[in-house]
Amino acid sequence: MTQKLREAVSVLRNGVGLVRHESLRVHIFGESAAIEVETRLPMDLAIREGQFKQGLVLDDTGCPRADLLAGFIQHELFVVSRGLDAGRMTEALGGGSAGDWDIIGVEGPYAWELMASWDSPGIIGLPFMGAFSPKDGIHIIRAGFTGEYGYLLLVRPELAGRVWEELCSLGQAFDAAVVEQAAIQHCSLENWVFDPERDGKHTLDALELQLRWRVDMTKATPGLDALRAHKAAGLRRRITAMSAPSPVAIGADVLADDLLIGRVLATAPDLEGDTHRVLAVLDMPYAQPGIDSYVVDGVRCRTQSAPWVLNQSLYVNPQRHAYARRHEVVVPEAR
Amino acid sequence: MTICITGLGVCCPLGLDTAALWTAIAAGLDSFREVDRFELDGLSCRTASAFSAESLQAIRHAAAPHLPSAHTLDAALLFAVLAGQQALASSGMDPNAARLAVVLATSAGTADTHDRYDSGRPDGASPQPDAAQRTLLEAGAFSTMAATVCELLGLRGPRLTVNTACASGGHALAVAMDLIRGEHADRVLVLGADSLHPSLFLGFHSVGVLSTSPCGPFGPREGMSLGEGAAAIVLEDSGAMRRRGASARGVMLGWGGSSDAYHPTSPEPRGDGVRRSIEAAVALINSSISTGQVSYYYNAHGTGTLANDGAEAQAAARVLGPHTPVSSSKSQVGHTQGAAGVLEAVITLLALEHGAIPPSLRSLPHRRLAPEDTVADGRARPVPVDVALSQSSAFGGTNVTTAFGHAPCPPHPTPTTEARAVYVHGVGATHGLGDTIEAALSQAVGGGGVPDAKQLRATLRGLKLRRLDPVSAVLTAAADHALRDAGVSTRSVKKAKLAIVVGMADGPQQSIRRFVDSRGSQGPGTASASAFARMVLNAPVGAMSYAHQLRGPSITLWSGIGAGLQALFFAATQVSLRDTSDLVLAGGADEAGHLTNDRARLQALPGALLEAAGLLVLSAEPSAVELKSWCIGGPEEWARVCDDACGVGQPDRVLVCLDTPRCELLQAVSARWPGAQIIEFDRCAGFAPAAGGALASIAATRWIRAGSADRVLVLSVGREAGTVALLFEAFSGDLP
Amino acid sequence: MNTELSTRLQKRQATLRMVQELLVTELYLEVDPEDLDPDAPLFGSGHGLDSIDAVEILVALEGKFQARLEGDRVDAVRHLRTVNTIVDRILSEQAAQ
Repeated sequence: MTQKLREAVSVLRNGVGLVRHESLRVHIFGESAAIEVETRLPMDLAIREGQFKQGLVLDDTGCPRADLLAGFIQHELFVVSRGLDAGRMTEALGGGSAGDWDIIGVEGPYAWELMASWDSPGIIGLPFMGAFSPKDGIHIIRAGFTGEYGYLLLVRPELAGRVWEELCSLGQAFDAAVVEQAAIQHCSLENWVFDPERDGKHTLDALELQLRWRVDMTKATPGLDALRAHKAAGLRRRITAMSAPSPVAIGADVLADDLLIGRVLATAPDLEGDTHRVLAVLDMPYAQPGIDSYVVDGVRCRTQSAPWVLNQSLYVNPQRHAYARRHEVVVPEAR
Repeated sequence: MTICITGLGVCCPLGLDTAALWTAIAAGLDSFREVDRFELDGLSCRTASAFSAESLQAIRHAAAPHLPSAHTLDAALLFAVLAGQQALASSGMDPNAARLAVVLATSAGTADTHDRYDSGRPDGASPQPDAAQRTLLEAGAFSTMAATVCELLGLRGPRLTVNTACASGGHALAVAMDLIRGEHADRVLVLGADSLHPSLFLGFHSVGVLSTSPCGPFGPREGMSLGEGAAAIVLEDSGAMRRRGASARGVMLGWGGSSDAYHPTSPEPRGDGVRRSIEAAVALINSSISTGQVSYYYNAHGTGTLANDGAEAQAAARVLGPHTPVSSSKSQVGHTQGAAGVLEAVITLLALEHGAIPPSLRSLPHRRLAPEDTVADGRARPVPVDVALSQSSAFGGTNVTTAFGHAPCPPHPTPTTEARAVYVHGVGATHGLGDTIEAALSQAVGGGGVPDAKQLRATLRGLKLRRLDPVSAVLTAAADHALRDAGVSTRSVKKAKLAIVVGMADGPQQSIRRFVDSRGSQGPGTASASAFARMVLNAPVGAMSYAHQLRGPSITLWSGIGAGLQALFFAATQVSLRDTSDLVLAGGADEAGHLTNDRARLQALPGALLEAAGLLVLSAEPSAVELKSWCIGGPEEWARVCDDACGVGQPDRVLVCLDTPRCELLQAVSARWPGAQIIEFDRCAGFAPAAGGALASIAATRWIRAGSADRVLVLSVGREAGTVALLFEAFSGDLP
Repeated sequence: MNTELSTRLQKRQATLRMVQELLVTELYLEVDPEDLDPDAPLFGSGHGLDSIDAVEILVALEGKFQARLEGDRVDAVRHLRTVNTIVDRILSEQAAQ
């Protein structure tokens, strides 16, 4: 792990990081077009104004091709996605075109405090997956990719420069740092957040990737039909979190008593470099946490519950805490 | 016409009359103590603004000479009667005064009596409620509280009971004001009353919001503290007041309301619902007070919880500006539940009278998001203001703001909108027995066709339909039918503003049972939080609002038999008087639970018990069916009310909903309109205490739409809700 | 596979199933128990349960498994992240007894 990456991850886990997202797409639909779009998506969109929901674009075999956030702002349907290029996304949604938006991410246990100083203290009340428009040309969705407090700002290109500068400048009070996508991706992995780039190339479907909660299994789309059939036939493998004392290779076999039971899909070191998060797909009977006898690359590994990280954000209360007094937040020792 | 305040009364631990109360408020005192009237084993929180056992005894003793039942009356009833007597006396009005209505606000009602009833009743259904239960039923249990208060005070006019949990008091004032503006009464005695009992502590503890020491809204101490007591306000039309030579102590300028449609117990965290409620109240003021700066005082809902205070402070600042002084009376009198909106209004009125602003105790150091000018002076601040607002919010996400000003009348009187005609735009009913969503959705009353259960489920699924108890399910389903029938589409802005008035009788009994059963089974920490949230009377209305994202003002009436028709009556006043209420959804809902079962047997009504909801969408825009008149009166006044409703015309049909077989009344009705078909609703359709009147109104609408009748009168007569009469008529004008 | 591993896996699977069923019943969730993926977040993201659900879960777990999720309910947050973390806690409580 490079020093730069280590610092960026540390900022995201302890303070607030700023990122410019280049690979997120935005599609916007009016009320009647939204009804049409909903029939194509594997989720239902019966959600309130100012609310978003996480979902997926599935191919016909039930494998996720894109990660998406869908919701309503001022009664228009916004679909923010990553994983498919604009053209393919438009095709999947059956219309619309990718809007021209700059997307800024603000993530970390004190992201809310930076946002409160940039917008107003009232933003503390914005619930997870809530959204609103503080000014013309700017929409804010409380969502992120790291498991900490996170905000996505959708900003018109002509305003983006100034917004970015304001956030960077105000961010100094919180030791905020600009972070690269690599840091976001690292944090996504260790927080068990689906990343189409990382997870979408293994031909694992939504059941095997434990993403059932993102879809409505009773809807009728080709991808969901495939998932239902798979569920009826019985799941044979599932992704599982593991921990290794030394680096392992992507694609490496996972063995239980010399029996091949799975393989490594992704891996990353923790901040200190002492242990390594291993995302593996394991055959069903073996896919349980709490087993320390599986072997990868000759090394004994341990399966565990996801996620690997105990987020500070779980213990930071915006009505009580502040970055300047962050030592007051006591994160209990893991048992 | 100005709505004047001509009488005030209180009975609470901080003061047994308004002078004593104000003295204590101004001195920065509170009435918190350790509760000694009942056991609260194992609960860490025993602090509340409570009467000690001894002082409650003393109050009963002192009241006995003029109130014979003082020693046996349920505490909440006792407080209500005492406060009511005080208010009437201070108004100088004769209790026999004409055109005097009563609106009573409560959350738990006669809780002691409920407990005794529940413990005396075995878990399985008893074949006949026995004599003891009969006594309890008649002594003021369930929804008979307003009727009982009327009887004890010798009042015979219309009576309405409002129960929107913690917002009841504010809504009661709103109802009262509009009764006068709609010329249905010249004066209204508004009461708010609630007493403490163990369930309140267990329930709020299970939801995790109780403070272990006296609350400090906006301050470092988090959590709420309970309170009890009653307050009363006499509202009176200025003309009627002058005619009897009385004078005003203050003026009610208006009210506003909204629904969060966010979560059963948590308020919408950005304070958006509260903001819209305050805006609606202030909008009327801006048009009723002359130009120039208006200074405000904001008496907050301010419970002390993290969830409420921050969001509310944001909302108040956005509407009134950051420099408006804010305080929470709950820091002095605790959270008095259904009484809060009236008690805090009394405190607010006393503040206006005395030209001083009450303090907000224990608010220092301020929490993040506390109002900038929280009155932390420790005593009342001697600064007069022009207008004072009082805010209440409740489980189920309903918000109400009432606004008061000084007497004499402000330079411009309360604006009277020209009364608008009212039409029926949509109807929807569900009727089912059983406690699964499937059963409730599978049938419909009347000739309107069977609802598409699958379509409804698909629509409602994503909106977290889980935790819908039977009455929530029928109500939500009926709303879906009514909205579709009215052509109100899923995401329209109109729908977001839609106001709601629903009448209930015995409420969510399955949830009540679940909570009672969960209490004490394994210690105080195990009371069911979700059952507590779902057992409040207006929880089904909250669930319905959430499912359909309805965000206008929402009022729930607890007037028992006839509640649904009363709700329609009040909804009609809304459409008629308030130009912000273009669409109102109104009606009633019932669950075939143990309470309703006992009630039906007790009152010897014919017909099977219905688990049903009926809702109508009323609008100011013409449609084929006009709601021609809507009238209200006491239970003995039915003849006068029928005359008011029908005038000289004859109805083709009369649908009658009764609380007990009343042969003489039916004969008299037949004699009055010999050509009309008289239909006893319970006998034909079944017994639905609250929904009955609404289902009858739906039948009336359908007959008129189908052309089989031109004028239908729906009449409800009973002790709890008095007399309500609605006349539906075929509209002969041009339709848009 | 060897018996020790087999036993552990079976115990895990059985407890997992019991917790999935308990959640579906107590919280009136409209899904099959197996649709609660073991590592899917329960609160916030994932199944979007709320604070009332958290209380209900704690009470139900304490009742069914005699697993006291210790101390301040604030820290229960960590133990209720996913079905798997709940199973972790139950099994560790049972081992300690």
